[in-house]
Amino acid sequence: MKRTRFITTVCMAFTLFLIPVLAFLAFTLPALLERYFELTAAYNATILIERILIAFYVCLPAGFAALILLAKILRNLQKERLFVRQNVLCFRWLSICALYVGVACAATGIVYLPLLLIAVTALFIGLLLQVLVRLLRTAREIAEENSLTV
Amino acid sequence: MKVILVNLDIMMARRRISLGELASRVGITQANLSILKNNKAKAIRFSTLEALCRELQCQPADLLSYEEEDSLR
Repeated sequence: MKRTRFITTVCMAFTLFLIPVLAFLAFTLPALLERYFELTAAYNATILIERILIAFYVCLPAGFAALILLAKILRNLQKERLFVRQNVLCFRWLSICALYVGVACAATGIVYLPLLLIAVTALFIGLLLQVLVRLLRTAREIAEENSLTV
Repeated sequence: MKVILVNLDIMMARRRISLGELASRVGITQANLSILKNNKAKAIRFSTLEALCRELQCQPADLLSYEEEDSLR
C-alpha cells in the first residue's frame, strides 16, 4: 500500500510537471525546431517544421486536457477512490483525447513518417483506454453492489 | 414490480431492540443495518441473515417478503 501511494505521488508530480513543460513548448517550439533542423542540416526543414508545428498546435488542447484528466484520476487514487464515476468519465475523455491526437497526427503526418507513427501509437492508446473504460464501468457496478451488500 | 422487502423494523419493534444494539449483536455497523432496514441493500450474506434470525429469534421468512414495490411507500 505504501509503495502504491509512493508511485501515485510520483506520477502526480510528473503529471503536474508536464503541464508547465507543455505550456513552455507551446511558446518555444518554433524556435527550438528551427535550431534543431539548423544543427542537423535537414532537407526541406521549413516544410518539416511547418508540419510538426501544425500537428503540435492541433494536438495541444488535447494534450492539456489529457494531463488535467490524469491529474484528476491520480488525485482520486491518492484519496483511495478507485471505482467511482468520475474516474470512468476521466478515462473516457482520455481515450477521446488519444483518438483525437491520433487522427490529427495522421491527417498532418501523411508526408512525414514520424507523425504517422505517433498517430498509430495514439490511436492504439485510445483503443486501450476504451477497453479500460468498459472494464472500469463493470468494476464500478460490482464495487457498488458490494458496498450495498450487508 | 415485485421486490424483496426487509421487514427488520417490524421484528425489531416486536423484540424491542434498538438498531445500535442489534447491529453490535449481529456484528455489522449501524450504517449497514440501516441500509438493510431501509431496503437499500443490494444483497445480504447468509452469515448476516443467520445472525439476525438468531438475535431476533425468528425465521428468514419473518424478515424477508416478496411484495409489490409500491408497498415501500
